[in-house]
Formats: sequence, C-alpha cells, structure tokens
Amino acid sequence: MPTPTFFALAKNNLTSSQSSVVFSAIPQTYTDLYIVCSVRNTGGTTGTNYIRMQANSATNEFSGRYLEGYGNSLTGSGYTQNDPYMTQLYGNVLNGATSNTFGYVEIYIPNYAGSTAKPISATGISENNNATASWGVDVVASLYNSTSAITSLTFTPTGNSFASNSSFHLYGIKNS
Amino acid sequence: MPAGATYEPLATTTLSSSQASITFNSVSGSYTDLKVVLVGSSSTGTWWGLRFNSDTGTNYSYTNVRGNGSTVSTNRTTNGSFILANENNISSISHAIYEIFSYASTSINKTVLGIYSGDAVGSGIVQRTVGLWRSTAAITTVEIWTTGGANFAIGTTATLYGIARA
Repeated sequence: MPTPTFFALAKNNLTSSQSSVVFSAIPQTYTDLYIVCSVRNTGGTTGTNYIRMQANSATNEFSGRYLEGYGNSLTGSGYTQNDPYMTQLYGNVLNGATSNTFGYVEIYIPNYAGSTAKPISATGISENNNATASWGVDVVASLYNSTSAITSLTFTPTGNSFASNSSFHLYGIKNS
Repeated sequence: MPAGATYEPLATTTLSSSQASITFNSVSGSYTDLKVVLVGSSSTGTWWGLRFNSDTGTNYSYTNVRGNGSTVSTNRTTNGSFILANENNISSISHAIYEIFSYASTSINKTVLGIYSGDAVGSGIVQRTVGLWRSTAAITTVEIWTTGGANFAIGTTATLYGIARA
C-alpha cells in the first residue's frame, strides 16, 4: 500500500459574501501547501479585480513577477518587496460576467514550514465567453521573503467581496 | 483540520498504436476536480483539443498565453466547438496537464486550466490556457484529440486523476 502524500486539510465554502477568507492554525507537519480558489466577485462589470494572498501578518515581505494575457493584449511586470500581499492573482470573475461561472486560482507553496524564504508559484484563470468582463490568464512567481513558517493564509479581493458559493481549499503535501 | 488521502489515479491509457484521440469514459463523480496528465507527441504543428461529454456544439471558449523562445502571444476564442489546449506543438515528446475544476457540479459551468510544456533543444513552447465549457452538466467523458489529421504517437500516455477536497 503506497503512503498517502496529498491531503485535503480544510475548505471554506462561502454561503454568503465575505470580504476575506482565512486559513489559520495551519499544521506544520507537511512539506508543501497547495491552494485552489474558486471565486466570483460581488461587484463590477468591466475591468480587472485580483485576488490577494497574505501570509501570517505580512507587512512588506512579498515581491513578484507576472505575465498576463487577455487574448487581445499581453502584459508582464512585477511588484517589489514591501508588499504585504502576493497579488495579481487573476481568478476573480466579476459580477457582470456570465452566470454560473467562476474563476480559479491555484497556488503552490513549497517548504512553507521551513526557516528560509518561500518561493511561490500561482496561476489565475478566468473565462466566461462574454466580451465585457473577466477573461484572462496570469502566471505569477512570488517570494515571501520571511524565515517564519507559514501558519495562516488570508485571501482578499482587490475590490468588493467574494460572492456566495466561492470556495477555497487547502491541501498539504508530504515528500515522504 | 480533517485530513485524508485525496489524489487518486482513476485510469491510464498508453497507446499501442497511433490514434487521433484519447477518451476517458464513465468518469466517476466522486471527486471534486480532475487532472489529466498527458505525455507524448504528435506531428509538429498539430493542436490538441479538449471536449467533454461528446459535446461538439459551440459551447466552449478559451484564452491563452504562450511563448516559443522568441515570441510571446495571447489568443482568445469565444463560442468555439472545443477548448484549444495547445497550439502548434513540437514533434518531440512533450507534456500537458489539464486541470478540470468542479467537474461533477450540476450548477456551474466548467473551467479548465491547461498547461503545455514542450522543449526540443533549440525550440519549444510554453503555454497556459483557461477554457470554459458552458454547461452545468457533470462531466462524465473527457476527450483529448489532435487536429489536422495527425495522430498521437505510439507510447503516448494519458492518466486521469481524481482530487477530492476536504
């Protein structure tokens, strides 16, 4: 019998809109963390609205580089250290988008409980077949430049709130 | 926090002869997300498409970003008859992952993250795709197929995994 290595740790299924979602008291007994977010925003019809992730009570430990494509434009840039969030996570489908459709973000945090800085990868996606809002792909590389183990993760939108039926899922992965 | 084993291999197909498509039928609805990992090849310039439940209607859309080492690009298609998982792949062995979120839901449309990685020592493609199947039906069939008359080569392998949430 192979040893299980991939564990579903917690979930937050929203039954009403919320301005933030928190995973607290994260067990320190795994090697990596993997997070999947299924998200819709309460507001907005056009434009972009990102998801942000804060680790612990970060104030200025995040930096990152990202690549974004929308089908008609492509952009890439970065945000320097001194940011409290990993941001530019493009999975926040706006309220004006096609109904019954959610955006997704997946985030991988290796060695989250270790005493070195944490490089983080993420992909944010949104597609809803309309011409006014909420489609694109972004790929993000980030650094949580802290030697502290990650014990909590907080997710917030850059505007409005997460809509009801959005969900957030935390997995732990063991390397042996 | 509850914990339990959640990443289950459901089926594997390894081609003993070249063929134009790989299909997973009767997919169990017991999981939350699906992941297909494909390793293989087809002729240079062929595209790999993704369809669900044998739906060939114009119920798909996708947006991608891709780079080939000299050019970066982004494309979008709405009201298409499939999700274009990768464009103009290399002929040597390459790798695709399709993550199909909330596939068993009967209340939301289905979103896919496609990851394509191919390098041929001097050429290659990296691509990320978001696809949408505008259907609230639970996915029971996953089809991956090549375009332009080309086939997946002998030895191409696709594995379907089920991922359960807490």
